[in-house]
Amino acid sequence: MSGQPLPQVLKTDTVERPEVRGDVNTDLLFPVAFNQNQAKFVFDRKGILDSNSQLQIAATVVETNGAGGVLQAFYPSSVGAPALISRAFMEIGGKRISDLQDLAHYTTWKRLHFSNEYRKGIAMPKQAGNDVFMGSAARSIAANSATAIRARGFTAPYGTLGRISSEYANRTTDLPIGEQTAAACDTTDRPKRFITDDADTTPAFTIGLSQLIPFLVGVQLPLFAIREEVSLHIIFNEPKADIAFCVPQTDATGVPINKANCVSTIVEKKFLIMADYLFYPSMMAEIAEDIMSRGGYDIPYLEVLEQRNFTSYTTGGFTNDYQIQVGGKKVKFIVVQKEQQGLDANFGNYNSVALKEGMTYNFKIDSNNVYSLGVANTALQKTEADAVEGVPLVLNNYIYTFKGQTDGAGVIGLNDFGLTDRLTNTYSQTLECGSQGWVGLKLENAFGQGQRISNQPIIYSERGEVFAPDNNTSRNVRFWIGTQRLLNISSGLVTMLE
Amino acid sequence: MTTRRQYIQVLPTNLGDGVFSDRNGLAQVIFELPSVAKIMNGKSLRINGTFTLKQGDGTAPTNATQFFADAPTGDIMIDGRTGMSSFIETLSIQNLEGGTYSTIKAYNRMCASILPLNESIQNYLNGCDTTYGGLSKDVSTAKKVDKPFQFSLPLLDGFLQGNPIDMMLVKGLRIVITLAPSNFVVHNNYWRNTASTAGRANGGAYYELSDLVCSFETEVPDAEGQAAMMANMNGVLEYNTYTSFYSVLNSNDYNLSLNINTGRTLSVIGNMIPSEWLNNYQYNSQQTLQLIYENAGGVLENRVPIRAFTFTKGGLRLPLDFELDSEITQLAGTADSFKNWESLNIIRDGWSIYNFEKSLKTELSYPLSNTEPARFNRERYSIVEEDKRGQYNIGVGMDKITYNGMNFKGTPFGMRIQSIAVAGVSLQPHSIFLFVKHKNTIVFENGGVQIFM
Repeated sequence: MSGQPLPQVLKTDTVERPEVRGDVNTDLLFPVAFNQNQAKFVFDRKGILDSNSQLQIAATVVETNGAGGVLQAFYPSSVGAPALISRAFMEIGGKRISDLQDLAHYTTWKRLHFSNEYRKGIAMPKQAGNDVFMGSAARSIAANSATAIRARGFTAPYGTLGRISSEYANRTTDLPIGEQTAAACDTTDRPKRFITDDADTTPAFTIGLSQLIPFLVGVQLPLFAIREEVSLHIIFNEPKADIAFCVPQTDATGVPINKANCVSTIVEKKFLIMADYLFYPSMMAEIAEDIMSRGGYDIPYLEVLEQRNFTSYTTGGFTNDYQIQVGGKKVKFIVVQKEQQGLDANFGNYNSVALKEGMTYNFKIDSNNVYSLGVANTALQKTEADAVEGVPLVLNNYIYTFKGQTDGAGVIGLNDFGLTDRLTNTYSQTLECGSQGWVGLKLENAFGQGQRISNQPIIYSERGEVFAPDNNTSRNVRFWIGTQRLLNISSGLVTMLE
Repeated sequence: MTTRRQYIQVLPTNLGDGVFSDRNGLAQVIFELPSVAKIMNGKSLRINGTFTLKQGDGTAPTNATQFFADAPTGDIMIDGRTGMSSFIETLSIQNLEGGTYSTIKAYNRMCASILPLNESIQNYLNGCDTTYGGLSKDVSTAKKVDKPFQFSLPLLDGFLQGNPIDMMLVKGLRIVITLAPSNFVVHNNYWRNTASTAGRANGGAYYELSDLVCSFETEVPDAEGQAAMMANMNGVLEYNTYTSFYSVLNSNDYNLSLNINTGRTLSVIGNMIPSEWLNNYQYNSQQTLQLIYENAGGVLENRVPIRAFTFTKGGLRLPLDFELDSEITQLAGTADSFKNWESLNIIRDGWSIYNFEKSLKTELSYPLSNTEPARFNRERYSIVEEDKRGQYNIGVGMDKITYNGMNFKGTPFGMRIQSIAVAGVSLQPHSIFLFVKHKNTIVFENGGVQIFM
């Protein structure tokens, strides 16, 4: 390495003694190129780009050949508005320094680490989504009895979890007012977050640049000292239901919605970056001097690679081995997602659906097992997934796995669902059981250094037994591989070192 | 020196037929972790397994349909705030040569004070259930135990939660877990509904643990580093641990004097429970309420007002030179804020206190009158919020400035609990559990191990 480590001011941490004359300029940056497939932004070469700058995005949704009712379309509950984006990459001088594919799926994983308080107070208003679970009760109303009084008027099963919904479920708008009714148990996304069919009224949401470009996590880019073009490219997702957005089963008047006929359109006039450029005049002179004539800076950063496979399950025992090609790279973690498509639920395609009776997994690196015993215990599986980011996945066990709900043959009895059958956006929340069963392996050591992988591929193995409820289901199996990269900025040019 | 992460899994040494239980298996679990040239991250250590709750006849509970029934059957459960931690009666951490680094008796009761101080009820409902196995809300925890479920339990012993551990220097580890009896871990819904008696039927409900594995992550140095670790015979390891004490309160002016004999004492954490409730299927043995007396129906549930706590060191009022007075607030039924602050401060630092079991929904949900129940009854449970059940910790923090603690060698620790006698009722004996949190130092010298308290 030829450069120096990044100075404090180019990191995202709090600057210990910020310069008194520091300033922030916020520009509204519109794309230099835009269509319904992709867009490109070019940053001005000024100041230091705050990685917490925000991309604003909005879309409309219409149902062709529909009844014309209000669709109440919404963003997938587990990811929110990032569902509109398929891929983002950053180029400096034509060199691609960071490229995140299937961005919305990776954002689903990242979002699982948000605390409930952050989700409620920040993520949901800022990016939509709907994923805070609390205590709940059944949807059905019990006949009058002493038991029903104790159960707040609801039938069994008692003790389920679900999104916040009425404790009383009383009619408030139609007669007889005050009577308990199952319909009053149901919830939707906040009306202000519904995607409308009108570009003027549809809500816009914001996504941090560091969510789009992992390179910017921890790095403030000194645009003023880079002589090459710095650009951000956004590739949009297919404008279809369950991919870019979700629709309820019926519209606001109860007419069924054909989701195959629903399409979204990105609203061009609301698509922009609120770019914050930071200025610290005296420090910037020193940074410019470092970059132009003292060998510049070496910037270690995380690049998330993606590998995609496909698996179908049929009843009976199975062993699936997957090769992960990352020869020569320093790998910090591997995350495994198993996306099941075609599920009618609030999360759209942004899921990692577990098998009903679970599975046992292991990794092999250089022909050696990572785990001496395959990991079968789902709680340990989550513990290992927690270790990847060092922050626990904030989700209850019923969403992580079907274990504890099934009968041993993959069947869940009516009273055995851990989540409530109350509806959210017309879908039963029981559909979300086992929907976020992500697998994770942390490989970085205590000093944050990844493990150098030889040319021999890493092998990920799963084995278990498929029962009837999972028969003929399939999954897109994605591997997210966090690799340690290094680039150098010197003389105004960016060079990839590793 | 470079290192890499390695994950280690160890099966119980006394595996037997794989089932651990006080009914149908072994009541003690032993894990022996090898003496190898690796650095253990104790915080990552987990006891993984499957928990199964059974009625006396071996069938599964039926809380999902019976929890609110008039004459329920099969409504047995575990404590939701401590979850799986409730089955550990004694936790002992030793080396493979027999030396003991830490032993915590009544570990479950200690967790009953520590674990509920979580950030929010949502934390329990969205993650704690996978690791600790509890959902905090009784009705949700009851549903969870209807079917066997898997857990991945951290051990909250300071030896593990402190510094990284040189597995070679400590001479390997032997973790011995003595299981609590089933009538401690399992209970009926009797406190809410006196018709709930399923736990006692057919010889009593019981629990089983199976598929147990101890897992932890290590840092493995390169060959040179491992050689250096194997050659090293000397070192010092400092850690916090707990020493347990037990007493019984049976008067309205209760005085306790303990020779705790710890050199660097950080705090004394405690809780109490009617002695009758321990190891009793009818009640949750992990409850941490204040003193209570019987209502007209003969059920223990009304509060005995607390007048004051006094803590002494060698007869002098230390570290607080005043009484922790609760009389006015307790009689008025209002917020006992300073007492609460002190009891939180024994576990968390005063400046970083956050929790939910001291929220307005629990501690302050008591009715103003002391003649009314000390908790909300089942007719008024909240679906979405935490259960309105008190969390009454007792104790005192010793040193939140230097964290080096106070020296209690040769000077006893004293505690006085004054309560206000309630006319016409007798005071039931209450068990007091105290956990002295203190610093230990292990000195490794030429292959020998010495522990300094």
